[in-house]
Amino acid sequence: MESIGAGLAIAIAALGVSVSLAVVYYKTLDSIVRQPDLLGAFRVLMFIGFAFIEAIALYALVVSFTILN
Amino acid sequence: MAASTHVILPLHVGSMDLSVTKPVLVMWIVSVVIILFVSLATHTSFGKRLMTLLYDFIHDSFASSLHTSKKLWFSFLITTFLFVLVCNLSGLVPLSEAPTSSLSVTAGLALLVFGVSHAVGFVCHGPKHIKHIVPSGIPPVMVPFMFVLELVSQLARPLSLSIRLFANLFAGHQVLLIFLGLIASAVPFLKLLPFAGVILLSMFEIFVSFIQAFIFTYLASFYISDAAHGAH
Repeated sequence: MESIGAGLAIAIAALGVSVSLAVVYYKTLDSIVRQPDLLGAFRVLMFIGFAFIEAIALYALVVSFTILN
Repeated sequence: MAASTHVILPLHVGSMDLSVTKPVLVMWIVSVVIILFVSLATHTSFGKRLMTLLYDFIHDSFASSLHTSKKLWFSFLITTFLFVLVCNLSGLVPLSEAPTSSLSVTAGLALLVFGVSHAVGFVCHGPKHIKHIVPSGIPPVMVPFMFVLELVSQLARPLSLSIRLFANLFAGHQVLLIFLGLIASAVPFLKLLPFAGVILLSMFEIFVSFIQAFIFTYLASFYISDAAHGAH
């Protein structure tokens, strides 16, 4: 039962995070196509956004490790 | 929750546990390495160029949000960035472990940022800093509610700051450990797959170390400039 819970914890988080990462990347590409001059600024902003979103999946990963231990 | 509680030198003062553990030792080594590197780097032309690059990077990334009395907080930011970065990277050195993959270290760093940001607020605005926590331009009836709400959000800042850094480093190293275990348990002709995974994940960890150090410093600079400018 615990393994199922740990798996579900990371699976649901990964579901949401993958969707939001896709949105961020899609929008960044869209912006780069519209404003190619601002590529550098977009890249930095994109990575900051990635790191914030990724952290949510990592919270879930820590939770699932805690469940397993 | 700490990655390891491997005690090197037990030390108890009263009821406090001040034992020297592995993260503490690594943190001391990291501090010495940073101090030696920064003080020796300026003697060679390569080191000078490297430090200029670092200075410009931090300056361009964060100083734009620090208009007032830039210099003083800037030195704090550059120290924070270097310390968090080298702590993150030290997790990839054999026999070592990243101090930032234990929650106590990141909580200490986040509380430091919290303290510094509010100290900046009090230095810039005096006691009016407390008033500036509430955004200006809202109806007076709402002020007490907004104050409580903003207080909670202020207190959540060090929490999210510490847990973000801790979770990134801790989870990354646990995933590396799992892949290393896969190498041992895989059938001989498939051992190459988890090995390639370990190499890729190690590279990803280097990337994460830089990004997380950047994020930590970015948020610290945001909080400090937020306190320095007062009401938004």
